Amino acid sequence: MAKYLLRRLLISMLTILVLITAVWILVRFLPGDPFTSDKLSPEIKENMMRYYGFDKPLTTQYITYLKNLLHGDLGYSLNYKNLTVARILKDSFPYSADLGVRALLFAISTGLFLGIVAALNRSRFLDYFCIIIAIIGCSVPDFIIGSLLQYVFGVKLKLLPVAQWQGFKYTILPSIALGFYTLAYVSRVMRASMLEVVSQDYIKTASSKGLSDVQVVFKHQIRNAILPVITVLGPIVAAILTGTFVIESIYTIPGMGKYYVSGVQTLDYTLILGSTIFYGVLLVIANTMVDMAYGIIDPRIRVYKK
Amino acid sequence: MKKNTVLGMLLVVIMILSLVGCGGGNQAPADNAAQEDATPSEKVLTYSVLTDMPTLDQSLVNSVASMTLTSQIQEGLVRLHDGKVIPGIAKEWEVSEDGLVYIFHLRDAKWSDGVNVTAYDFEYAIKRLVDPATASPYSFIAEPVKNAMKVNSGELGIEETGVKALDEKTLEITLEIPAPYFLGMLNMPHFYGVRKDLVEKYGQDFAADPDKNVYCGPFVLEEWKHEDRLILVKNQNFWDKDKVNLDKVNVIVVPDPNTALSMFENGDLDFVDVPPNLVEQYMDKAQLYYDGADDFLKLNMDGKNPLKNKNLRLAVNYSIDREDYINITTNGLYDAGTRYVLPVVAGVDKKYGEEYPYEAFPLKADVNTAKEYLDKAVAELGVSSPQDIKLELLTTDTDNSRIQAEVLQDQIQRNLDIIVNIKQVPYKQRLQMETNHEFQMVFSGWAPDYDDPHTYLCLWTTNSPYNQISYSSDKYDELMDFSSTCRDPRERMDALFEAEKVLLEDGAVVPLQMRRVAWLMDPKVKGLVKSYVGPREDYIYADIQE
Amino acid sequence: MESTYVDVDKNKFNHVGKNKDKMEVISRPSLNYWQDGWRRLKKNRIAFIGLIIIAIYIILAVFGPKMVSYDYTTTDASSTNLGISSKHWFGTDKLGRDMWVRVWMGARVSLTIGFTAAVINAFIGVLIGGISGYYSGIIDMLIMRIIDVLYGIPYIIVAILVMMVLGSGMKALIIAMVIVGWIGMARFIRGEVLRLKEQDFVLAAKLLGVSEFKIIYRHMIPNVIGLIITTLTMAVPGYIFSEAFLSYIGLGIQPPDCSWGSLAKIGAQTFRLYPYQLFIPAFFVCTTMLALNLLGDGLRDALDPKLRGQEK
Repeated sequence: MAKYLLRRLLISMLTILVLITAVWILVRFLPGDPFTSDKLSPEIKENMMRYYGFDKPLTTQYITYLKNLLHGDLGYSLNYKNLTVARILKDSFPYSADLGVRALLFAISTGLFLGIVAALNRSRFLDYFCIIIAIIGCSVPDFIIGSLLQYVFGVKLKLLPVAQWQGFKYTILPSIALGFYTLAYVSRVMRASMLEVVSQDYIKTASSKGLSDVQVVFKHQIRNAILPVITVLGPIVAAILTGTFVIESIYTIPGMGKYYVSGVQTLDYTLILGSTIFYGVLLVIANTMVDMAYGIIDPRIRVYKK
Repeated sequence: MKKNTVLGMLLVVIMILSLVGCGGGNQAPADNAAQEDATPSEKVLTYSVLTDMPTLDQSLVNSVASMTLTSQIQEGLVRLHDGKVIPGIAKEWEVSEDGLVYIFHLRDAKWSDGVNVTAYDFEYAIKRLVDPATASPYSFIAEPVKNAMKVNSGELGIEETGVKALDEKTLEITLEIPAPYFLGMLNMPHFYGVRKDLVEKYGQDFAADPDKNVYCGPFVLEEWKHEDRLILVKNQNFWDKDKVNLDKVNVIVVPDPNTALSMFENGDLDFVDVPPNLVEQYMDKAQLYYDGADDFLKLNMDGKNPLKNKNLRLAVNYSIDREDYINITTNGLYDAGTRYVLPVVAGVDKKYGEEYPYEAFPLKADVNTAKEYLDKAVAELGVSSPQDIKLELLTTDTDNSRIQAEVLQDQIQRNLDIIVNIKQVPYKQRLQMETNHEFQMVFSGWAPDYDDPHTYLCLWTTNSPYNQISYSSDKYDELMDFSSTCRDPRERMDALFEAEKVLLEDGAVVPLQMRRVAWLMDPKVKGLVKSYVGPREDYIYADIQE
Repeated sequence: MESTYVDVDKNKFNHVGKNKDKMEVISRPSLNYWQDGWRRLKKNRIAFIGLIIIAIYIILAVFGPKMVSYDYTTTDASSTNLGISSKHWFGTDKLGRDMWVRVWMGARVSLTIGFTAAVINAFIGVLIGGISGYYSGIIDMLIMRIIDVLYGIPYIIVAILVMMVLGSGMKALIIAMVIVGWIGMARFIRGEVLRLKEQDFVLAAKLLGVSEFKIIYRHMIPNVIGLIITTLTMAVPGYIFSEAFLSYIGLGIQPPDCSWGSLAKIGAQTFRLYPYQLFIPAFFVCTTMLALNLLGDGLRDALDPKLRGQEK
């Protein structure tokens, strides 16, 4: 186990290095530069480029960046000129994480529940009810759901706060809006998976052995059906993390999503790289945990054994 | 049995959801809470901004939000309040005969840490602004100052900048040209005093947090949670503090205009801009103000561009129905642009638009005139029919830009029978394409830096770095040069007006709209001023009266 | 007790004997996997409804715009933001353009892009995911790491770069959507293949000497096809809105051309005042997905070998 983790760690670090290099190179191909604005004249822009060292050869710049990175220095943002990238990420991530975790828990628990209920009540009312919810969730994008929820529950019915993040009731609408797509997705996958598992032989065996339905469902059916859901857990976590931007914007939550997006819009190289590294590390951790969970839940698969 | 299964799972789900529920929220306490804590007599103003300020370092501010807020927490030599220049830290000043040398006499004033405000702070600030090592994106604003641009490009040492503190309370500024608008320009935060000792202490972290800067303006920055809110409190060390009525100001960052409107309607904000899409509903309750922005199409006259042909440019200008355009894209909120310079900027004694009324192009499309010009253009360009003329309209990747472009495209195509293609690109890319002259028509605009037509007209001289359309008119250059050195205000303004006429008669740009904003204010707020130049909202003398 | 045996006269029975030919007769035609699937699908009425809905949309996409006299680009200041009426069946938009025409012009783009992107991504995803899962080991690790890197690059950067290289046509748009779009499916299929690989029927097939290709094609794919179809149908709306986002940054269709996604995006700005401008395109996206789901469910039921004989 330890050897496996160590190997995963090394590979992950290599992956992140490749990712950093790729993004570092690619952003410099994007049209424009970090400083140009409507009012900036070309001469002043040249001065600024020189000050920030962008006139030096690319390899020098890259090595400087890596050297700083090894010291934990992500540099200053090019747009938020007095703030270090590390500080920006540190201040904003807790909000995104909070929102993301709530959305994830909500989506997964409710999604699994709906999927199981639908599968067990196949072709009856409950099944169709769950399918409709799933379809709406998957086909309506987050900005529409976010705006609608805010308008209906916040503005019209005045049941919940319209914006910000200052207590439990503030977290309800954003978490639902962010998690809705995942909820729909998980419920669909779970339902399909449950239906597929129910026709397996070991279910028939368990049933004919005399196990009650509840036992069959919980001990065998759910445990096996949940595997495809775990497979997609990685992308789901990723989607939620990167999807916070829209929800944060509508509900005025000072999270990290905004920096991820605005960084590219303003060509803030240091911020783009900093947030990419951050998300990259998170994703790698999430994926590793998913792979390990996979092995635990289904003893037949041990990913690290060849 | 199935029911039990379902019930069992329901229990599990509820347990998880209650986990989701516990705790929650770690943002600063609500405004309502703050108002509850406040003593009943405390006057608190709360409003929102669309984006946080990227920086509050006086030399580096680059956005309307940053500049507005800086003007409320700092004070320059003079202040632009409600359209008038009033004394700030400088209690009086003299201008030399030739209009090139300004001497300012400073009053007694303190920074929020008790240290005196001196002329050395201003000298340091202006030198810091043009210093290439500071890399300020707004250093161009110092252009009228002697040697400023040469210092910025590295040609001259920083000592050569035309600013000097003669003693603690006297500041001398020397200009390159006798610009009459220079005094108003000093209202820009880039000319405010900066404390050298603090810059040296904090380096690049200067002004990153409230405690890393000091304040000499009506308010002090007490708290700044980035991307969340700022809290200002009355500055007890402000030289004019008796005139300041507000005790506290809450500035909340709300990126979504619809959300801000909802917050205003809930009573959480004291004033708000109405989102343009909802303006119709609020027209009877809202006030309007010009925000200074003036939008137009730039027509590229480079090389082989069909728009090199003056008749084609005029044809395009006459083919656009500005009234329909304004009604469709802005529900009548913006003012149609039938001329180039914003009419509400200062003229000599009255507003520029009052002293020099001008309608270069009609409000409705004039298809006959357009077709006349088009026929001439077709002949001169040597094509067989208008359909052979293809123009590309470049614009940014936002919803509004899209709608604006679609209307223009439809009008030009229908009225002239030429082909117009739309190209939407991200903002930075559009800027780069403009710099490289890689466009034919581009949707562009300009906001004023000072209260004078010159701020709009200076873009189109042959050597202007902002002239990306290769427009070159000797007459225009002559008039602009003349206005830069002319000492008689009336003659100078006449020349600027002539220049505006030349520009539009050449069809160099297609004026489209002057932006106005509809805003709502709680009636208990008094003395709040909105302006098209300088601080967007100015509440230094505002008051709350229940 | 009396005996419960019934006394039956032996002579009432005739010994027929074994008919070797008849024993080997096949009682119904031998269908291969796909033929069997099609037969089962035809019987599924609900799936048929899904098919009908999609067919209707396609027909309207082709003929809809011609059914009214308006065209999709003409702006009209006097008719802006009109609601549904007999003159304008879907109302008008902010620029006074007829929404019926725009919705069906948009349908052409959205349906084409949605399906094309989904199918291409599914294809690539299954291929790469299958290879990764089946061969595992170093190949698996390499592919998964490449996926990690690709996924980590902010998508908007990739999109802008594609636009810079390939311009703004449909080809560029599809490539931008495909370049990272296959990742979700690939990961999914890889997981499934890893699981299936350990199942007994695969082991059995291997022992019997079945070639690897046949194992994948005849044994594994039918087992994952249910999940492939489910994932595919759920991804289509994502592509529809992706296309809207990409056209804003210059890829794909440019204004005044529209799609359901871009109509919904613009409608979202004004839904408080004019809800129909949002709900109409959103409705069609939802129902398209519903139809796809019904059809997809039917397909899955039809193609899942274990459900054979259970069709209603």
